[in-house]
Amino acid sequence: MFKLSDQSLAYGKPSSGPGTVIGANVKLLGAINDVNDITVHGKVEGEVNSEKTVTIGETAEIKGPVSGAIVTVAGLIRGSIEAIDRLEILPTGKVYGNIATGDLIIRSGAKFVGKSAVLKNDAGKNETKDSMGEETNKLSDSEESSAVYETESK
Amino acid sequence: MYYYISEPPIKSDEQRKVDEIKSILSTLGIAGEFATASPSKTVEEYLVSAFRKGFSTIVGIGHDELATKIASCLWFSQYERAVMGFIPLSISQTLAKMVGTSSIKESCELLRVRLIKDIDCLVLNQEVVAITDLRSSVQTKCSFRLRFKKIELTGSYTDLIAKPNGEVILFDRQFMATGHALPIWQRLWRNEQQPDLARTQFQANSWSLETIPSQSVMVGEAVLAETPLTVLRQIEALKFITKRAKLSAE
Repeated sequence: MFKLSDQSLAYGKPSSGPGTVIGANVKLLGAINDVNDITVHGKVEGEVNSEKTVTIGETAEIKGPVSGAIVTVAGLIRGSIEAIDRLEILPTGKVYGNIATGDLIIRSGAKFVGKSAVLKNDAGKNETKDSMGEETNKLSDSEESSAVYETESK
Repeated sequence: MYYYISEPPIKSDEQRKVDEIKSILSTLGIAGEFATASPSKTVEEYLVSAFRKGFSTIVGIGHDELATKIASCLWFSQYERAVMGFIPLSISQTLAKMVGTSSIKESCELLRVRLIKDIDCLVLNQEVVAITDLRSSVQTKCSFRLRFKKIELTGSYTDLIAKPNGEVILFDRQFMATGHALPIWQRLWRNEQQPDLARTQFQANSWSLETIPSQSVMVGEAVLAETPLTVLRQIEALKFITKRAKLSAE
């Protein structure tokens, strides 16, 4: 597995840089690990792990788990997602897999098939969000809850 | 002591520039020994001669290609005390931007100030060293397979840039032009700026590149290597005389 953060530490330099971008014309096999942001517009077969933001573009197709602090999905993911702070599935986003996040937003038009679980935030409370014009996932108050559901709205 | 190596002049005014440089260096009190590389005596041979005489600062006067030759010789010689300087004959060159000077006089004055920085470099196919950006540009996109660690990237590109800091950027101009990006009606409807979909960018300290067909990888106008290619980044591998602003900015 290729780890940019490990390489940086090995050379004694602070981790920094513009992050990783995978273009729409590129296919990647393997696992991407980056301490900085990751943006995917192409095809990935493998893991996508960031310590910051993961952005899955409309043209992206991911087969594998995705994890990050904030994950935004406008493309297709067949795999699990773990977003410590927030997961947002945009209208063009399609997720087939389980998700775990502290804050979930599913926009109108999105497709999600799988189980969802709540990640406890630092305050120890579970928060729910309900915004105008958006379809959201309302979570229970238990530390971890799971639900199996399909949601597809237009 | 400084050992200066220049190339035979290519353009008509280059000999005049070299003479001007010698005059400025003499005025600054850092005139050392001068040599001009030629088919009869190469850069490598001059460097061996310079080390034997006790010179530890080697200064190139010329273009990116000469800088590459000197850097390669210094790297493969593993001469620990070696320090490299450069006086670019053209400020538009990549190396001029790296050194941070805008004139020949300023480049000469930098040598006198002698601010030394450890710079990263790229070793290509274990044969040649690049201290500035590598580039590969093609008119018609070509297929590539790029491997680093356990990751494999496949796709097409028209432009490739690899920087000594480990950054690798691939771009496909033709992909953007042929409409494989978001449909134009979507972009207009949503009034969004289209993301740079044909750009791939990552950080790697070692990688290999295969292309179909084989492509040249260049520094400036000089061809350094052809694909298939292996690139190994060496961090803080060479001592280089540069400008204070560059040091503080980084």
